[in-house]
Amino acid sequence: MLDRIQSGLEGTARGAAIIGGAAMCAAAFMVTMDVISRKVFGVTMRGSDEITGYIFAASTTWAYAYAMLTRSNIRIDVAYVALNTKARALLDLLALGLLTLYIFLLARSAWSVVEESWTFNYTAQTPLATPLWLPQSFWFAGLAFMLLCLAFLSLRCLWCLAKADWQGIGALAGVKSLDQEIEEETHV
Amino acid sequence: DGHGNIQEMKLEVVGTWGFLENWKVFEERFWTEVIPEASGGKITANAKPYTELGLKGYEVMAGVRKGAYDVVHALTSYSSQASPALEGIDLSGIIQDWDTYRQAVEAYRPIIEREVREKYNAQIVNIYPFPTQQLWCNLGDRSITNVSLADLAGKKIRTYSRTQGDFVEGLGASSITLALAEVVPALEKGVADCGVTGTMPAYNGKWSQVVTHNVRVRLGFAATFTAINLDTWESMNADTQNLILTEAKKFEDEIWEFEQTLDQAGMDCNAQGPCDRGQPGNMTPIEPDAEDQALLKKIAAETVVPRWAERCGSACAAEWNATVGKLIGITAPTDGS
Amino acid sequence: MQTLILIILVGLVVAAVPIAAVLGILGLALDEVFTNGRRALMMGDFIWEQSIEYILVAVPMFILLGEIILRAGIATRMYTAVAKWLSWLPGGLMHANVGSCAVFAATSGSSVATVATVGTVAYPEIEKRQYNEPLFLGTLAAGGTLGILIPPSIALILYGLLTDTSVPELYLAGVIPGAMLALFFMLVVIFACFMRPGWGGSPVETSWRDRLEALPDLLPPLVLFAVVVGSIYTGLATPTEAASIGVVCAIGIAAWFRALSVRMLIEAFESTMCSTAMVMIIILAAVFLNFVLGFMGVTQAIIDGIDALGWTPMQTMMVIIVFYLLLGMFMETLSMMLTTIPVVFPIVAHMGFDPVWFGIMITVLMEAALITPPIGLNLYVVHGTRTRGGKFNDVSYGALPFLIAMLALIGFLLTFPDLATWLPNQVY
Ligand code: NA
Ligand code: NA
Repeated sequence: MLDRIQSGLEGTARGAAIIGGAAMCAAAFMVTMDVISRKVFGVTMRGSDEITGYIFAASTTWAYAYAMLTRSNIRIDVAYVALNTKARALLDLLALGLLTLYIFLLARSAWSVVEESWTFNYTAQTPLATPLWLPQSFWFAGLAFMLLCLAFLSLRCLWCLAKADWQGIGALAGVKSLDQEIEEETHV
Repeated sequence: DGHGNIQEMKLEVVGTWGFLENWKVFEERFWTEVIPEASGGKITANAKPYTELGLKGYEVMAGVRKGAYDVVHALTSYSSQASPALEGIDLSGIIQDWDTYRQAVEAYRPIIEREVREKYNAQIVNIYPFPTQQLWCNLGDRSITNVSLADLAGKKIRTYSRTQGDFVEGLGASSITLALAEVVPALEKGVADCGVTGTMPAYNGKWSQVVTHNVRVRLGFAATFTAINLDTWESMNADTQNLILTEAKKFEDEIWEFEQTLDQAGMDCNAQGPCDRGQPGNMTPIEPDAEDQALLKKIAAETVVPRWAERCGSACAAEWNATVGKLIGITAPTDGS
Repeated sequence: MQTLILIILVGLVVAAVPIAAVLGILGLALDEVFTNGRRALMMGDFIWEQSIEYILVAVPMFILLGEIILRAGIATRMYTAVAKWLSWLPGGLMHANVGSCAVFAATSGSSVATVATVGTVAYPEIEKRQYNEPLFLGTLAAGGTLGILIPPSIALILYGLLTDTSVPELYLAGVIPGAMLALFFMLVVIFACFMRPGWGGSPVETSWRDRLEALPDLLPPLVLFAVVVGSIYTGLATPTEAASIGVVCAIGIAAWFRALSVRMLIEAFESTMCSTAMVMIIILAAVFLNFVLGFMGVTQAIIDGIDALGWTPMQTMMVIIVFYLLLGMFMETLSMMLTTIPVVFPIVAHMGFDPVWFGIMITVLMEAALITPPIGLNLYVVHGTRTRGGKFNDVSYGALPFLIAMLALIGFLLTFPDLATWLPNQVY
């Protein structure tokens, strides 16, 4: 059951990352068209830079969860690798706890941004005059999704802690081993 | 002593650009010298320019509203995403001389105060300008002198606000956005033909290396206010408030004088001098002639003001008509949204 | 106060807490303890403004460009072509390793993409031609570092963003030191094979006809380089726009080589967003911490402290260089750069060093960090390409002579700052 929920979260995160990447790729085409039309016809599409910025902000927060679930977070493991499984598991819990706390505070603060943009109907001071709540909602939703994944992972790890299953914690939230990392870096 | 009723407090202050005179000569000194002295050391401040804090613009006002700091010196254009009415004091190209501009600020002040209080939970204590925003163009050859404003139609002009974008489009040119650090390379390489910036910032930023002409039309005065978070303000007693208001008023009177001198010095330094800050920039100055003035008026009345009125709504446009509009003889359409 | 901050920071980093969480929590905690915690009220607004920053958009674009080119299957052809031109030198294909890395570096903003691409193609040649394995692996690890110095470079974009330095100027400044470093690497190989002729492997037979026929295979990376860098310098585009044009071009090249498929694109998107997220989550936390530190006046306190020590600018710079070399042994390069520049750059600027010059200096130091054990990303990646296995230390030893070449470049940059600043000064 828990495994199925986790793979559901992972699937969603992966899907979101792919959509985000595709959106960035589409943005690359839009910006290229803009540059060409500026050079050749002397006209600019208004706001291609602005839209690209919004796509960037939203696709990035949605990819956070994917990076986290694939354990690609940048962690310095000089001391970590020298420890035994139990000590590593405790550090993993500390890491997960602090990351969850940080993302919680960030998401809470991000919510206030969206809420105010909605309430006061803020618009961007650009030619497009985009209602800001729109891109901000996508951006916030990515953070909220990451928080959901972190909360789920934390609960699973606490459950492992209660059973003193140190390896279980390592498998859920450990630093990727050298072999795993190399395997991914060189996968062409 | 005379400081008996002044409250002891330490204020946190965010100022404008740390490398410009407004911060160096006025804002910083106000919080680190003037106010501490006037209050007998009771009011102190931790004041930092926003450039030193890595802030970029619009979030500057979110900070003062939410009480992340007590005081902010902020451009009205940073607050216009919540209140388009604030944009009304700095519409691009509508006013060309300092005296009229100061009168316009006086006329519009109650509206600015109300908007900032309602939308940003802050009390305005003074309003002041920067050196004027003008056009700086790379036209390839400094010896060309017969440039008129109409010649800039079709050019790519870097702007940084919506009202400037409106002006540029009213001119028949295209408006592009670029990060400040990229403007000089962009002007050099022809990504942009012209840019809008203040007279002294253009000199300090060495724009003369890439710009050949200074078209001396005033596209804004970068109106700036000092605003104090309302919770902080209301926690002050009447004597403390009065002390700050009195000193802020002196600041205001001095800086309006100062900016006019600075503005002229900026224009001189970018042209053939005299310049007491370094080598003159040798740009060719283009003073608008009668034809240019007529075009300015036309762009203001037909593009800049109507487009803004549409963003702002009819009630807002009506308030503007009764104040700034009456002063300069332009009527914003009030039949819009 | 600075000592306490440093202890907490180092403690959490060593405890393997994700760098982003360390920086973010530290920012909030410092503000809570020392400046009444009010900055947290606007963290969301602050982060949003940074998240839509157009300059930063260049980061995912360059990563995507590299990912697509990596999967376009041009690496083998390119390597073979470079080999035909360079392998007559003592050391044979090891020059092709450096040369291909330099050519590939000129299109990809990423060091990992460079080393993974060239490494995978080159590795089988060790056994086939009896090269000295550590030295051969060293050329790959070191050659791969050129990707962050020869433009386009993600490291230079981030430096430009954090210090308000023009990215096009930084790109120009990286060209001469990047070319010099590639040359130094080749000299290291020639010197080593001169001392130990057996290390150089069996010679590669080639003719002028072969060489000329191989030229078209060098075209894709050169076309990409010309398009990306050219569009910046001819005034067609800003760096972000150039990166976007590069993505479109890379897709065009992949299509030309019939390597374009939905599956390939999906893999590229996935990988790009994962790397982007890793970088961005740290950048955003770092700029927020910087905001808090700015309010606390920490940077000013450090500058005052250094002034009080009475060091000359050159002494200070030497200390900074040694600090980065030591830190670079243990820390991942990007997080090292993002966490230290907000504090170190104001000191450097205060001492009167040129921001563009320091951008190049710090990038060379990042390159060194990529090949110093125990934590050296390029060493890992090269080690990972070894299908026959072997000791990790082989790679570390093999990279050592190239580290010395980097130190030599650092020395040259200190003595002749013009190596970095001359080219941008010609243009700007
Ligand atoms: Na590169
Ligand atoms: Na290292």
